[in-house]
Amino acid sequence: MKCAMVAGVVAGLLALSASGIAGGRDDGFPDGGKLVYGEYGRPATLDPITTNDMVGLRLTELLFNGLVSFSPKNEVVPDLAEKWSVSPDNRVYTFTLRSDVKWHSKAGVGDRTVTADDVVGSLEVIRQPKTLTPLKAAYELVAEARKLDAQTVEITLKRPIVNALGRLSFKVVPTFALKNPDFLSRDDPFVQNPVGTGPFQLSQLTDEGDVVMEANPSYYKGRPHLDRVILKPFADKNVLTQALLFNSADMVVEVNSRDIAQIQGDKRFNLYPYNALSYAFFGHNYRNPHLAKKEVRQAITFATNRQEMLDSFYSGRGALISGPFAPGSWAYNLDVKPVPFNPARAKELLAQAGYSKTGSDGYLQTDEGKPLQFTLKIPIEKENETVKRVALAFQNYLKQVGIKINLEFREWQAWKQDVFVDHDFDMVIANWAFDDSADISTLFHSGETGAWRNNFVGYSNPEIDAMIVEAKTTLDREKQRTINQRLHALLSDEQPYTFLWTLTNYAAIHKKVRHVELHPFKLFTFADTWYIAKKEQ
Amino acid sequence: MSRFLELALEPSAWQRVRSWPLHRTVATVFGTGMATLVVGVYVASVLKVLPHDPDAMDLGAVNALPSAAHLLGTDFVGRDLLSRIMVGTQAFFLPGLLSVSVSLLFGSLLGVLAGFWPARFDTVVGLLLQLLESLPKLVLILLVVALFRADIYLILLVVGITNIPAAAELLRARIAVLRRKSYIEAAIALGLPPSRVILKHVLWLHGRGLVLIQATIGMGEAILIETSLSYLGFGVQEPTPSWGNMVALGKDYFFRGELWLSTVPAGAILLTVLGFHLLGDALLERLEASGA
Amino acid sequence: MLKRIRRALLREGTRTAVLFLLVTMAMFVLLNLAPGDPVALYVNVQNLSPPEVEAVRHELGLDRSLPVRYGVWLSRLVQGDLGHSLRSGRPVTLELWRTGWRTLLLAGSAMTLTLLFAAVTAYLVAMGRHPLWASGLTALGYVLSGLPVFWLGYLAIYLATTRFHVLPLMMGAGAPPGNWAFFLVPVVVLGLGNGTVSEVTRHLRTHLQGVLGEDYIRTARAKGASLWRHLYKDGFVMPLSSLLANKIPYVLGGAIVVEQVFNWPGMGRLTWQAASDRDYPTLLGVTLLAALIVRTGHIIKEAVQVAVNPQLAD
Repeated sequence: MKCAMVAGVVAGLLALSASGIAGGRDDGFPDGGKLVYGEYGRPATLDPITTNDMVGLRLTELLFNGLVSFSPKNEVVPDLAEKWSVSPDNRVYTFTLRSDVKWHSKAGVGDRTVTADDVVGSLEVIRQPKTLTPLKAAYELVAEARKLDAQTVEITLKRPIVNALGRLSFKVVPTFALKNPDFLSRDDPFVQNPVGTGPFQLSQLTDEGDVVMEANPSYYKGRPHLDRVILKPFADKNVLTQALLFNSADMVVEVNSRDIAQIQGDKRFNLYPYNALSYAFFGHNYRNPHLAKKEVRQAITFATNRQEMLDSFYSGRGALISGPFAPGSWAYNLDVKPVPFNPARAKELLAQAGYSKTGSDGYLQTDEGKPLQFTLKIPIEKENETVKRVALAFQNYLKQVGIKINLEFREWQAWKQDVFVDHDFDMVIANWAFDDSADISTLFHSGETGAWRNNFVGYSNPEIDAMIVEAKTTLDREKQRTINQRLHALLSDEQPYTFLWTLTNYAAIHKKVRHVELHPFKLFTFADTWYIAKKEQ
Repeated sequence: MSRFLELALEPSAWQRVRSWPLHRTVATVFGTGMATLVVGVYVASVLKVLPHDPDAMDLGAVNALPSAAHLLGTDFVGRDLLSRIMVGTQAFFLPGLLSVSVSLLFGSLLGVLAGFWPARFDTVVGLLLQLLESLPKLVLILLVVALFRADIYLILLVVGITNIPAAAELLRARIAVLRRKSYIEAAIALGLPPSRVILKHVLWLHGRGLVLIQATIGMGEAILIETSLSYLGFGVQEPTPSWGNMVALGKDYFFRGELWLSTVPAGAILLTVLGFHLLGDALLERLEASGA
Repeated sequence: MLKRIRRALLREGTRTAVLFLLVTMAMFVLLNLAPGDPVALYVNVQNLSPPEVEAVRHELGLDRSLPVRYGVWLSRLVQGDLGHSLRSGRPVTLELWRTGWRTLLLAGSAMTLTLLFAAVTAYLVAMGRHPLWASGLTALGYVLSGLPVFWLGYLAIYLATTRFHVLPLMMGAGAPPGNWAFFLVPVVVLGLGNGTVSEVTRHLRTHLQGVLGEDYIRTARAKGASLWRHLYKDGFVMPLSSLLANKIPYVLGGAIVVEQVFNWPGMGRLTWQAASDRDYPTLLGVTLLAALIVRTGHIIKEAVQVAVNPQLAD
């Protein structure tokens, strides 16, 4: 009697798992365990539309899906859309949605699946003027989104672009669960209590600001192995590292460069390098008559020993760059080498440019008899120890060739105003981060020099303008690559920036978490496959 | 009346010092010593009498411990710590004096107004003082720095202004005590003009102790608040050294066991603040013992 | 009697209202003078055209003039609505509630510790008892007052991690039971390390010594009567209540730093973030709350002092 009952129950269970409704994964790895990850700073909002900070962006990767996602090699793969087709003019994309994706189970949402209404609704919310979202500019290229039937969506672009699929990776939200289905504002409770389709669902936002997420048992790819993922925000980077080392956190998203050696030596953790497509630079303001001279800018770069700075301050973990693209990018021209360190050549160039008299203070003199000096404006931040080191070293290097650098620290918002609006600066030190499109048009096109535009250095060159426009509009990937490589070579010669380096970022994760793969900047795209062995849970 | 008797039997200065309790002697000696040292170092740094150039970097010898070449070691870009500590006195000496002067000047004014004519001024002055007290200091400094620039004189001016209530309240309370003891009424009844009563009797005789104490506390606070601001990023900025920004820089190496970088300037802060406090306390005790 | 109380309440109430008005106005003006735009919280201003940015600004109500914006804020305030945080979208009252009690807990405990330490030390010194302890505690007070508070926090964490292999943070979700003990560390750091211990001790000690010299105390001592009963009112309660009121702003300021070091989710962190973001509803709310706390401190002080010494009532 008992055997029959047990057999019946077992058979029932097997049947359930085979049907895949409440599916566990059948990859043989165990379920269970929790992952606490620490970040510097807190997310302002938790939904994918209003979020405007990196912490929020990474968090939404756990809670939401989009039409498409990315593989570890950053290729486009299906996500909520199982297949798609493109019209011959490359403007109309038709997506067929999966029918088995459920919204997170929360009161009021019930057991609904994702439909075309949700996809169209999400895009409409993003484009609505009342929705204040950083995504608006990115989705300006969408002309129209239409539902063809319950599982089919048609998106029409205003003009064909390269890698449109990658650009259409917005996360889908349940517009029926918003306070107002047409737009999303920050006072909508949804932004602090979001509902998505992702591998994890929001369980609790504790008073301490921890975000507790639990495994979504009906995730369409199967329940993720981890039971819980908890985001723990920190206000101090040193304490964050200590939290990792003393078991208050299992993972740190970006480890301080000075702590990498220590964590590398610690057997409990694995370090995962990832290269965000970003680089650091010194920007030179063309509105300063001295910096407008090419020889001066080139001299500045020759005078700066960037390799020594990279080795000293970042333990060499990164690479010098020679041009305006990130080295991991397909547009980077590997044939163009970074400007070598050559102070003698720097002095030559300065003499060529007309600065040959040295004053009594040791600095070169301009025609007015004043020392050749520039102000480097740096934003005040709490944790910018390496930026300070770089700035001080830079000051030192330029002193050797007779240029005086004055460091001026400005409060963050005031700095942005000086740099982007008033253009009241000589030089700045900053970073650019890119997406895959390698679109530098906003950085160097002469039309982008107004207030709040990215060409704050005021670079203007008609030849470069033409090339930039061509690279942006062409649909021929190879042609794009050729043009970009030429752009790279030209800009490397012009030095509107002193291009510095791209750094390798490291995430530290406790060894107990296995099968870890990271997306270069979204990080948690594959978190559903991570697991913790039974005995380490 | 007894004052005349005391004057006649007045012991010599040396005898008086010898009669001090031990703790007061230690405090005065230490305090005076520290104050002299700080002033001496300040003058030396202004005259540029320093072991090294405080801005000279040596990327090959960063975070070094004390050695023959660098008596206190080097910082995160290889600059000599001793020289930077010396130049660091400039970051609080004059600015601190500014802060203290502002708070004492206006504090005394308001305190006297509120104390002498409570009927007329108590409400207005009281409100003004509570207004100054209620505004969060650090937030004010952030906004002022954003509006202008990260200038230590500006920052400590703001601190001085926000310290006016403390000074005013002390003076007002002391005046209230004097009134209770009918001291002031008596003086006026004796025919002394109110201005003389205020200046000589209240401010000089009774107030100087308070002023002294507030001055020493104010200088101490100037250093400590700059350190908190440096932690938040807003203190004195590079490449100018200040003890606060040196401690803040060192924090990034603290947990790895490299405590030196942060502890040396913290030690300087401790000794200086301690010196100021002890000196102030000892002098205050002295004044109070002599009947102030 | 009742009439006097009513008059006093009216007077204090008006004063408080005027104070709050002035404080929030001052903060609002300063906030808007400083460069910076909360628009950046929402969108990447560089990626939008100027008309689009203006649209965002209009949507947020930031394009209206200062007096109008302040007036709107004030009118909502009297209805009990402090607005929504520009950053998180949550109601400011909720944010203040969530973080405010934590800061009050931290600051209150820290202040209690300061006063306790100072009272014990001052008592021992003034009475001349246990000279070794008295000197030791006084010295400790002086040393702790001379050290930067965040450095002390770092030192505390360093000692806890290297000696006890534990990080003194409140863990929150999934914390092991008994980690309430960790709460003591930031309390000690803020209470003893915020730079005011030695000053408070000295105040108390001087006051006590003054009171001990008073005739009525000497009479009591000569009579052999219990000192405490006579001493505590003038010697302790009076100075303590005024010290308490005066030191509140210092403790709240120190909390901004201590909360960041110990990851304590309190009002201090909220304030600093709001100031950096120019999140004016949150900042005005915080300012109001801080003013309320300071004012309450003063009112309590005055009430206590009048209760102890009815002569002081004007």
